Formats: sequence, structure tokens, C-alpha cells
Amino acid sequence: MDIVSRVASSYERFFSLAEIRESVVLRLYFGASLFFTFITFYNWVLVPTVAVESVNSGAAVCWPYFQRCHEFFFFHDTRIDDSRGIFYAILLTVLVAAAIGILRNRWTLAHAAAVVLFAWEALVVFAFSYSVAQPYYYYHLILTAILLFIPHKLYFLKFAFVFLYFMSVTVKFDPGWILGTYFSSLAHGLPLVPRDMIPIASNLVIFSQVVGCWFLLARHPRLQAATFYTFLGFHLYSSILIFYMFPAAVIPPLVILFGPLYRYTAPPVSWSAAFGWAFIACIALFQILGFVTPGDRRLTLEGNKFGMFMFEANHQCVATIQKYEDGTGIPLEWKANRGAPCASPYCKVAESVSVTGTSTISRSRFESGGPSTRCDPYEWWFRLQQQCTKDTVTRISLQFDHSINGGPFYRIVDASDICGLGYAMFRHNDWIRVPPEAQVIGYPVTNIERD
Amino acid sequence: MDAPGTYIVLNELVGNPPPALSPLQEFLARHIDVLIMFWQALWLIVALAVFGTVVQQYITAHARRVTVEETDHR
Repeated sequence: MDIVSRVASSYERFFSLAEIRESVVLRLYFGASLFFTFITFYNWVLVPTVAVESVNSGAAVCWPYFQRCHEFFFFHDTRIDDSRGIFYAILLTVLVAAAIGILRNRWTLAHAAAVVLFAWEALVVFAFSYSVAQPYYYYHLILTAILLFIPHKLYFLKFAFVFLYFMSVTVKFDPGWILGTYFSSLAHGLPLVPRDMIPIASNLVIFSQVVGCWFLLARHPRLQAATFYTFLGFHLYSSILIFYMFPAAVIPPLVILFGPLYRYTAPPVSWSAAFGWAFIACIALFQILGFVTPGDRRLTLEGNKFGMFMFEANHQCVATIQKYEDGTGIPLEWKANRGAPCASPYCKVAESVSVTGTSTISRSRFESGGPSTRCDPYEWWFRLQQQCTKDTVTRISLQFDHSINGGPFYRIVDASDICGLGYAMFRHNDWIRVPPEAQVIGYPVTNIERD
Repeated sequence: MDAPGTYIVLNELVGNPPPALSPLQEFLARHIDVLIMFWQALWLIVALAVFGTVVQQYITAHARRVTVEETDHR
């Protein structure tokens, strides 16, 4: 056996690739995982979130634990050169190589290519972009990590999928879901559900995620199938509100792992199963991190990006920024663009520039684009910090008003100079106020799920 | 909303009252603390039950494997 074959053989053993080779379910899921990777990169190639220029444009937001992440960005905006296109063309080539590996039953090739794709997705989501990080990427990364790296893949894929339902329901133990105000504060309510029935529907969802989801793992075929079709129906229904992205992450694994091909899988009795259980424990820890910071995370968004945070609250917010710079600009009167077309997550609805003496004051007002815009003060803090570093900027003020689930707008940030403030993880940042210190400044009108 | 579709208008500083709750929501709102505790307690009970079930499945699977190994040995 030559050295290449020996390395390939060791690689196969190390990553338990025989499991994939021998299981039609895992082979199908491998393809489904690539499908979502394609959707992910299809979205990312269109936006310059992690391009070098994204720091100045305000598109880049690093995680609080890696606030200098933009120093590692390496491709440019398309206005500068073709590096972004070239990079994603390479990733597309790798993706096609993985698909060819699947079709030719060459799992070392398919796996190695999938690891490259996984590495980029994980890097962007957990290191390069706080704003990109969304639960559908968490879902995909967690399940793909099990497929690629964990032994006893089939058992732990099934268990982790159900466990994600169970852990993510913890964000629903609040009035937004128990009273159903998340949905009753929407202009159109909950689609196809009478308004009076909203709390019943939302509590049924909680019940399904606390208790019902575990029957996806049942031995009894009818019970298991009934649970599968219930969850499938739920995800298909949810696409009315959230369209295709989250269903694309969840429905393929649901159908492949728990659909017509489902067979009960007993827990693996082996020391190698310890890797799988350790990974499950990490999922639990990831969810718990979201609750570490004291205070109402739905209002302050502190720690909210940790764990699954789907539908944690119906958010509406207004950010008003005043930037003070040395030097004079062109004086403009306040230009109100109320009703301006807006792309989620935010739109600029008004801006103006005025000159006083030798300094220029730029005012801008942004409003959130829909309930799923997380209205995170950290994102505004980060973006403005990048502007604070410019020599001409003397100070930047930020007012940030936030309403959840149709409740009052609270002025949770009223900082005369955001440049002098810091942001810490896992503890409350005093400049983000909570009631009663944060005052009510008005009430929102009902909003719509997507704009 | 004042404007439909892709338009955002927030009714700020106009002193509108909060959206009215339905009778069922008002009833639930009076017991919200108990309801939150109920769901949290149920979640904890299910977590313990799942943990116990997995341990039991392990013991059963392990015993079956030992029995098979002993049979093969004979």
C-alpha cells in the first residue's frame, strides 16, 4: 500500500467515514448539508459583510470576543477588485468537488472538500461576523460538525436535532410566547390563526418543543411518524412568516433523519461515544451562555447571540445618531424620508448635515425593518466605534429606542459620546439602560413579519 | 402600520396606548409568573426523564452486548 492510500485509509478511520459509506441516510444528509452550504454562500457572495472595506461602510460587526476581526479580512468589495468573486468561485469549485466525491462514492474527497466549506462558514459565523450569525447557520454548523467529525454519526445527528428543539425552547419561556404578544402585536397576527387563538397556538408550540420533539426518536412507528408529520407541518407553516431560509436548514435533516427512512437507533455503547456526548454538552453550554448576562436579554440583546434565539421577541427600534466633526461641510436642512423603502434589517429614514462655527454635525435616523431585526445596541456601538477612530470626529451621540412585542418604546441608550464607552461580554453594560431607568418615550404601531 | 409593505413608520412620541390584549391574554397575563415557572419545571422534568431514559438504554444495550459476547465466546 503506497503512502497516499495509507493516509487516505487513516483519514477514513479517523473521521469514521465508513459510517457514511454504509448508511443511505447519512449519504443523503451529506448532500442536504451541501445544499444548505450552497444557499449560505449564495447569500454571502452578494453582500460585502466581511470584505476589507466593510469596516468603513458599517457592514462589518465583529463579535464582542474578537473585536479586531476585521484586521483579518482579506478580500475586497467588488468596486475595488474581483477578489471576492474569485474567493467564492474557489469555494464553488470545492463544493462541486464534494458533490462529485459523493456521486463517485469517494468519501475522502467529499469529506475533505466539505471540511473546507465548513471551516469558512464557521469562521464567518463565529469569528468574522456578529451580524451574520443567525440560528439557521448554527443549526447547519452543529449538524454538519457531527456529520464530519463525530463518531456514531447517525445516532448523534438524530439526538442533536431533537436536542436543538429542546434547548431553543428556553427562549420562549416569557410573555411574548406564553401570552402570544409576539404575534398579536403583528399587524396581520399569526397567519391562518384567529387572534383569540394565538396564545393557544403559541403554547402548543412550546409544548411541542418541550415534550413532543422527543417522540421523533420513538421506537413506535406510528407515534414517531405522527410526530414527524406534526413537525414537518409546523416548519412548512412557518415558511409563511419566515420564507425559505430557516426551513431550508431544518426541513432536509428532519425529512432525512426522521421521515420515511427512519429506523430506531440505539445509543452507541462505546468509549468513542464520549465525543458525541461532549459535543451535546457543548450545545447545552452554548444555549446557557445566552442567559449568563443579567437583565432582560430581549430588551438589551446582551448575550442574545449565544444559543438558539429564534423568535425570541418582536423587535422595533429607532437609532438616532449625531456625528460631530471638525471642519465644515455642506449645510442641509433636515431631510425627512418617512416612508422610504427599507431593506431589512435597517433603513435610513432621515439625514441632515449642518454647520456650526468650524464644526459639522451629521444627523441620521435609522428604523428597524421587521420584527426579526434584533435591535442590538452592540451592533450600533461597534459600527460607531469604527467612525470614532477618524481624526476629524470629535464625538458621536447615540439615542436608541427599543420596543419588544408591541410594548412601550424605551430609550435604552442615550449616550452623548459613544466613543468613550466600552462593551463587555457576560456582564451588563451600564450605558444600556433598562426600565425604570430607561424611560418610555412612546408606543409602536403594529408591524409586519417581513418587509 | 400607517404604510403597508416595504414602508416603516413608527408611531413615536404620540402617546398611543399599548396594544389591547385579548380576554385570554389578559387572563394569562394575570398568572404569567406561574405559567413561566410551569414551563420551566416541565422542561426540567423532561430533561431529567430524557437523561434517565438514555442511561437506561445504555445499560440495556451494554447488557445485550455482554450477553452476545459471552454467547460467542462459548
